[in-house]
Amino acid sequence: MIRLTLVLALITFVASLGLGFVYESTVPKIEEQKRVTDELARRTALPEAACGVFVRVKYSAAAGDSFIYYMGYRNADTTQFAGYVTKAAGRGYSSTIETVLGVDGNGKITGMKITHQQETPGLGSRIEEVKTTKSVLDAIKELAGKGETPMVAVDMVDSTGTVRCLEVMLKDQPLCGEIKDLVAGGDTSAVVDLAPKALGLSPEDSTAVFCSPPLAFGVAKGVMDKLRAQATPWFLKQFVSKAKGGLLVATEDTDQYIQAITGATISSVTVTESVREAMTILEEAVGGFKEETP
Amino acid sequence: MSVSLTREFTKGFIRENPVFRIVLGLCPVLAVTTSLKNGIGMGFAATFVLVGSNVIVSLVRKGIPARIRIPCYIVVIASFVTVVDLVMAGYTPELHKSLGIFIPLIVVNCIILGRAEAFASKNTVGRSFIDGIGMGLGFTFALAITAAVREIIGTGKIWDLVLLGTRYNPVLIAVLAPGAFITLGLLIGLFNLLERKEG
Amino acid sequence: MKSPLTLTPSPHVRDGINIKSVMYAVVISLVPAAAGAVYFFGMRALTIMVLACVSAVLTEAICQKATKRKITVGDGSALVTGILLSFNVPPGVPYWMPVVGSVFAIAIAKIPFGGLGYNPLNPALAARAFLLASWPVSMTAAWVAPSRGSLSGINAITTATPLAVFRDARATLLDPGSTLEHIGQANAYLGELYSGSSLRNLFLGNVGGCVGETSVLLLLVGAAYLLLRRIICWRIPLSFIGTVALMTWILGGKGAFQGYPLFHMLSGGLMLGAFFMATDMVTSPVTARGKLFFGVGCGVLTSIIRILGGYPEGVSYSILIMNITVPLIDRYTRPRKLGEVKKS
Repeated sequence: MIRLTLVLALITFVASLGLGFVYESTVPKIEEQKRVTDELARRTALPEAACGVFVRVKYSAAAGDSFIYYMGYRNADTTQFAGYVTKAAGRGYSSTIETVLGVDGNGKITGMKITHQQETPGLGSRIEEVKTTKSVLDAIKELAGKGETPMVAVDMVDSTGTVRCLEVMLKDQPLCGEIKDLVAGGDTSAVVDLAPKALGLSPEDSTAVFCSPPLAFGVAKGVMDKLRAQATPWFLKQFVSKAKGGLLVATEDTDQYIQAITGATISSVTVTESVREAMTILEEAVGGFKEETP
Repeated sequence: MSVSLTREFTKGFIRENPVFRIVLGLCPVLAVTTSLKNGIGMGFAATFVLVGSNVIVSLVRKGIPARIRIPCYIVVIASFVTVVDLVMAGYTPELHKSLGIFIPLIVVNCIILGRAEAFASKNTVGRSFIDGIGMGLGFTFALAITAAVREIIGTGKIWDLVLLGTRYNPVLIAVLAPGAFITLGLLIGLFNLLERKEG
Repeated sequence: MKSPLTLTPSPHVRDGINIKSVMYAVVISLVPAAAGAVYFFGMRALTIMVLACVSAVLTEAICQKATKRKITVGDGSALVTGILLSFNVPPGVPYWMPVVGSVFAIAIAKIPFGGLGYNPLNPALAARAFLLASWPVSMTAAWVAPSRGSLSGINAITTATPLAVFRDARATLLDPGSTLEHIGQANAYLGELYSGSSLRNLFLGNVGGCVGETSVLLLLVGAAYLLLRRIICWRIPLSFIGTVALMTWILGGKGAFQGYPLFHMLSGGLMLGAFFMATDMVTSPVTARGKLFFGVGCGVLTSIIRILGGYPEGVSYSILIMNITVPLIDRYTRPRKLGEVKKS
């Protein structure tokens, strides 16, 4: 019995010595990676300060815990304030999920990025999605080569009659207004003719798809889903609905910057709750967000 | 001990391929073979652990009482996995991130414990080393084939290289979970067929 | 050499029925719906059907040739798979898709398991699931309006199938962020979906949907033929459709018991699924009680997917899921042997 114990103890001892050595030699490298990840995450979360600087602030809460946040500025000489960035952490299903979040001066979330998680596959491991800087329009153009894109412009009316996605897709396009009017007027066949032009595609590329308006309408819906999945995190909507009543998300302009993806209920609730908690402390730390009426 | 070292090395590829013939370690095979990069990364990580644990287990095989051999093997294997985990986190962060939870899970990969128990504990260090490399590369080979098939069919690309052009409509299911099962099943069938042909 | 004396275990029932006669009876029963598909969706539907059938039959022949088995394509089972697969794709899909689907149905979902009689999943439905997972865009959006009607069967909307309209309207009603205007609109759409003219369109098949699933009338004609010839029995279809009616009545509305079951019974692929696919002899239970259980399971899953799930339609998935449970159902519903005492 003693021999068994001794052998096992010896093996464990040798193994931990080896591990300690490996840990010592890799830890600087890992810390460096983490620093870069965090730095990039801050710039993602607060897009206005993407090219600016961040100033680290340490706040000692009443309870004695310290809380770190960053003030983000648009410029290097820290005169133009953009917002705050801080890190939220919460216990998920199988790991601690860390979220870097950006908050503007009014207390609205401008963006998030999950920087650490080890959730179980199928139960939230996809809670973060690779960030894409592609706009919907870029995605459309990229897909154009496949011949399945141009019907996009028609997906402006969903089955409940709501006009959506038009602005996002055609924001900078010269024909945007014209198409908008046509949609409002219900003249779908004219939209079908105009859409390829607005997207900068030759009509030859798109005629096949546009041959029948109902078909074009139908296909468009699916394609838009695909494009949305590429251009914005695919669970954004779920996150917003789960966060309702507590968090304000500055959605309009920064859809593509919000990085919280929620795969499973436990993981997404963790993110939501930890973000809410961090917001409360942050509000206390910065002495309250300015109330501004839009 | 009449088996030659070369044969000990090559058996892992086809004849005793851990995935296609012995059907072990299927969890990573199914989960990480969505791209060739992930598959090969996982394969090499497992190979490193396999070679390391085989050598150590073989070295200490005479000193370990039979009753506690399994806990001892697990300590050795877990140590090597932690080494791989730390090194990958430091030097290949992208790969580390995309393999995620499956790196720590190498600990419970039955190929590694299987080789320790069935081979390294009964053979010399040299043979165990060769066996580890052969089996590890056989595992990598299996992962690479499965991953390559899935990536080409499912995305039309391989290792960031566009293979099938923009006119190809990728069979999305190949990179989803059902595609892993279908691909693996068909590949195992193919290997059975190859073996039957050989006699 | 075959012995003139054949010894087989009981039951010793002699009947002229065989695989071939069953399969061709199914083919005949599908003819009205196929004709309806051509009437509503034009030659495109016919092309899809022909492509799916030809490739299914060819694939089966090639696979059997390659594996050196007896070539049995003449029994008509591959033909039935081809027709059912073509019935299950939207009429606007590119022409290569039914071909790829048929190849998958035969070469992956049927032959590797041992061919006819051994496949755990209905090959046509497995192929539909494969197509849906691989090309979700084409499979969920390539709808074509019937030549004499609109996609939704109602006038207000022309861009979605009835079940998609239902789902979107319901989502609007349940979303706390919806404006009053949107809620009013959604209610109006639901009202129109449940109106007489919409139900009439659904019954006749004058709405958008998969190639062969839209016309309830024509499917029922075929089903009646199969029931009369005793090829299928009433248990699975009745329990399937009945459960959907009950569940959608309970869950389909804003509160409990406020759903509109008739709409759900007539829309989507329910009739096609309940009469022609859930009753597939190979992939459904053999016992009477098992059949009822199978049908109820399909109905529960279909209703849950339609009302609570992300897809507008759930018939195909529910049948596939229940297919997997068939061996278990058969095992637990085995009738007692004559004289067997129930163990307590």
